[in-house]
Amino acid sequence: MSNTFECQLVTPEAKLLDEALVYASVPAWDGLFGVLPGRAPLLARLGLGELTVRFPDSTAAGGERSFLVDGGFVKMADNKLTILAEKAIPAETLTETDAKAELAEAQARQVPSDAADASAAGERIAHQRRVAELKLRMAQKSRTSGI
Amino acid sequence: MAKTREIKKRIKAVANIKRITRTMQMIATAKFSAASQRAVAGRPYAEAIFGLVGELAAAGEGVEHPLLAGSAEGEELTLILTSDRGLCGPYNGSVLRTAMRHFAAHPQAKSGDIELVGKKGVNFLKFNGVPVSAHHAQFGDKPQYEDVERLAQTYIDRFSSGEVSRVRVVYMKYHSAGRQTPEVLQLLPFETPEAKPAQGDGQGGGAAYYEFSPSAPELLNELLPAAVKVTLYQCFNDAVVSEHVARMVAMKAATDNAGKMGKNLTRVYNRARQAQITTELTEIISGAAALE
Repeated sequence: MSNTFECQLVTPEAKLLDEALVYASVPAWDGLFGVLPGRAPLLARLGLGELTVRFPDSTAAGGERSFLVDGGFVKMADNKLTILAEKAIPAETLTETDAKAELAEAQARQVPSDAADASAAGERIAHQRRVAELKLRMAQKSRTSGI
Repeated sequence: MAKTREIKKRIKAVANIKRITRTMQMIATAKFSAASQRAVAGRPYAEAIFGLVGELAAAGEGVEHPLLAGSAEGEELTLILTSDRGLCGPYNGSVLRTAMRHFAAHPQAKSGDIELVGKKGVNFLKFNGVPVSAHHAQFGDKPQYEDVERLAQTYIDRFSSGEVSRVRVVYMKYHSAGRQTPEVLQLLPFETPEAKPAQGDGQGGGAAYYEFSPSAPELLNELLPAAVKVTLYQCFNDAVVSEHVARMVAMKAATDNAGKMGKNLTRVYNRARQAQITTELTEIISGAAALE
């Protein structure tokens, strides 16, 4: 049994990652779960959250990377983790100022009074806020960790 | 004198046109490679989604889902993908002709909603008396997944509410750089891809026993819309790539033709010039002979 597993992170528009990992922390719809090599087959839905992947120390890219992931699916089979994210943003491209602006904009947003489906619109705005908050958190974290 | 000048003007015009078509060909080539790269980049996602649907369908006993079951009643919806710009050879023509044939064969598609992407289809459909209920102009050269997703979501909503019974897409399918064919694709009700035999390497044997989170039917509920969306996204990508290929080919032919025409014109010009010189010489000689 090898001590790594294959991991692919794909979105409808691009393939963001295709490497061997030692550990991944995946945001499923009901909470984070960790994946180690040889995990039992799993099919799950993704939620909004931070995906963290740890590369083996031997490789040049040793260390960790994070992605903001919003919706999609994850599949683990044959020691291969496939993450199909509807949206995925690498943490290093997030900046604090952008995230703050986005959060302010999301917080200023109100459900329009003439909205046909007020609860759906409210849910969308709430989701936007959560995305912005997470972006801000991740941006701050990557700044403090000095990436 | 007058004739040679005329020909010279035409040579110049042809050379200018050739320059333009060659530039357009090069632009189309560059755009084609960018578009095909984008289409290729999206393929792993699409394949994985279809694989998941297949596996779930195999794992779940008797797949039943509103998006899979079609009702015979209700109107059909047809989406036609054309380009915004012309000068791309038979691209728009063949897509629109396929659409017209489809309408002739399926009267309920003709009486139903017809939606259109791209400016080039507008006039054609107007001329043929086909009413267009919606024209989507937001996609342009680089279809974004978010835009396509939104469009697909409206189709899914309309389909599941029973407003439309079928959604079909008429577009140019991209097989390879040398082959594109116009196609009518049924988007909804969704046809499940055949479950691929599990590529087990000895362990497990057959489909793996997955742990589902949430349960398999719920997952399928989420997966099917995603599969529909990604199918539509692929249609858009294929259409864009095909358009650039078609333009590339058309502009290459135009450049070649302009080159040939320029060559012919140069020949005619030289001949005319020679004839003129000969005439002048004859005039001078006969004038001199008359003086003696």
